[in-house]
Amino acid sequence: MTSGAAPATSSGQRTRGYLRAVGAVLWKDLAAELRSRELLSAMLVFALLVILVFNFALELDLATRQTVTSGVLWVTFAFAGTLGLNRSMAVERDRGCLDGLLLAPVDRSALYFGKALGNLAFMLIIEAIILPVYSLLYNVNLFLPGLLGVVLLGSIGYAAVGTLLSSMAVQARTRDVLLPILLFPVVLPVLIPAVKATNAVLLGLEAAELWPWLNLLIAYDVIFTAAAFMLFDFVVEE
Amino acid sequence: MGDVQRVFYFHVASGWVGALAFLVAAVSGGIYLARGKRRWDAVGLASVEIGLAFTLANLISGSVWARPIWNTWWTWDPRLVTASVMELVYVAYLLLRQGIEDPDRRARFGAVYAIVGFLSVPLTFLSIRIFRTIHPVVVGNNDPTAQGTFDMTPPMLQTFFVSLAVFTLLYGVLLWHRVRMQSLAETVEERKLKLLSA
Amino acid sequence: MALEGPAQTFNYMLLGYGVILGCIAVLLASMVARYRSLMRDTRMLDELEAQGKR
Repeated sequence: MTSGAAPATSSGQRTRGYLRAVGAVLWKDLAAELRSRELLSAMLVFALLVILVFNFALELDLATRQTVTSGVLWVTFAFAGTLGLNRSMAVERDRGCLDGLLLAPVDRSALYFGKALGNLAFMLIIEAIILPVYSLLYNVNLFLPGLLGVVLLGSIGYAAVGTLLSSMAVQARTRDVLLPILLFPVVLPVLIPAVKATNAVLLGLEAAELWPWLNLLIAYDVIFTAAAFMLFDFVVEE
Repeated sequence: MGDVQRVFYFHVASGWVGALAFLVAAVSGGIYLARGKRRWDAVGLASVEIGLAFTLANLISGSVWARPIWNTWWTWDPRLVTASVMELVYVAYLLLRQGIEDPDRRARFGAVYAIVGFLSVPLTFLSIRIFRTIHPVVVGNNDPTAQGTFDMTPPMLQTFFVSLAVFTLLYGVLLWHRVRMQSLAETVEERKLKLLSA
Repeated sequence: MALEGPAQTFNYMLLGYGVILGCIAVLLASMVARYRSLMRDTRMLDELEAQGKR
């Protein structure tokens, strides 16, 4: 850990210390992942398998693809995301990292933002691989600026809530089955607008069709990041 | 519409009690996190249990009404979806509590999830609302596309408010008994532990 | 609707009321059952504690 909470004299210094603590937690996750690559490879293989299953379950021919691509993409992201969230928190717990991090003299919320950014980064990496693969397999261009924006906004909301809920789920006896049950009903207001907005971009609808969904996504991201920021303290309290 | 219209009074009243109960659970979750008094956790748990029963009554009675009026048991209307997602959120709440042994942690996690779950409900509603709805809006503004709308005559309004008041009262009584039972359950638990360790 | 007279939906009304009252009854029954079992535990604990003192 860096000396995140060195006696701060000015607020500027305190902000810098806080950001350094967030960066340290994020860097710890990324560095550990770069070394082992177990989480990313599991998420990636799983995501590809989900797409494969959808291919046969829905017979993704040209006509169906028009309407279901957005749904297939988001279900894939959501499932792969659950896998990643569960794993990233379980690792903290199994190796006793959580206790170590809690002992560190940093604000608890810095821990939250570090973990949330790490989870977001993993999701974005997976999405950055899945999108071109999907484009290639089904010959649709998914690299539209609007779509990338929707993916980013949706992933932020998903990671913000997912980090909070997965840190509760790993502390429960039934942890492996608990996370999706806790997460999916609460994250539904991210998935619905994300699917609809993705669809609107893919069908080339006008911006007026897209904005209500984007506004909803932004509102969700803001509300739930703020709520998770305030509530995370109580989740890791020992 | 016939006699089935009469379900409306209890249908709306149980929906109201369900939403009120989940609001109370979120608020008492907030108070528990701020003050740390176990009593508030008992209020939250009690309220969620009662809310689940009433929301279920609301959902199924709505479905029974919809069969003759909309000619289907179920449609993916914003209110229907929101109510059923709400039900699922609080079933998840009970499952979360079940999975945690330490009572302090159980109370804290329950409070956090009650707040997060309640925050998501209006957003779920909004996100589905952007589609067209066919659910009648009897109280408040009227949407001409709604099917099965009716205007309330003064006696209907009176009946409606009486049933709202009665259901709210029923909720209060149930909550009070359930909270008392929870504190009894906690003393029994403590006494068992004491006996086992002695 | 007023012209053609009310539809015959009396059975649905009965079903609707049955469902609502049924849900409340299930809640009440579960509360009563749990209360009974708590009282049984309390009595058992009383007995055990009394035995312990003797």
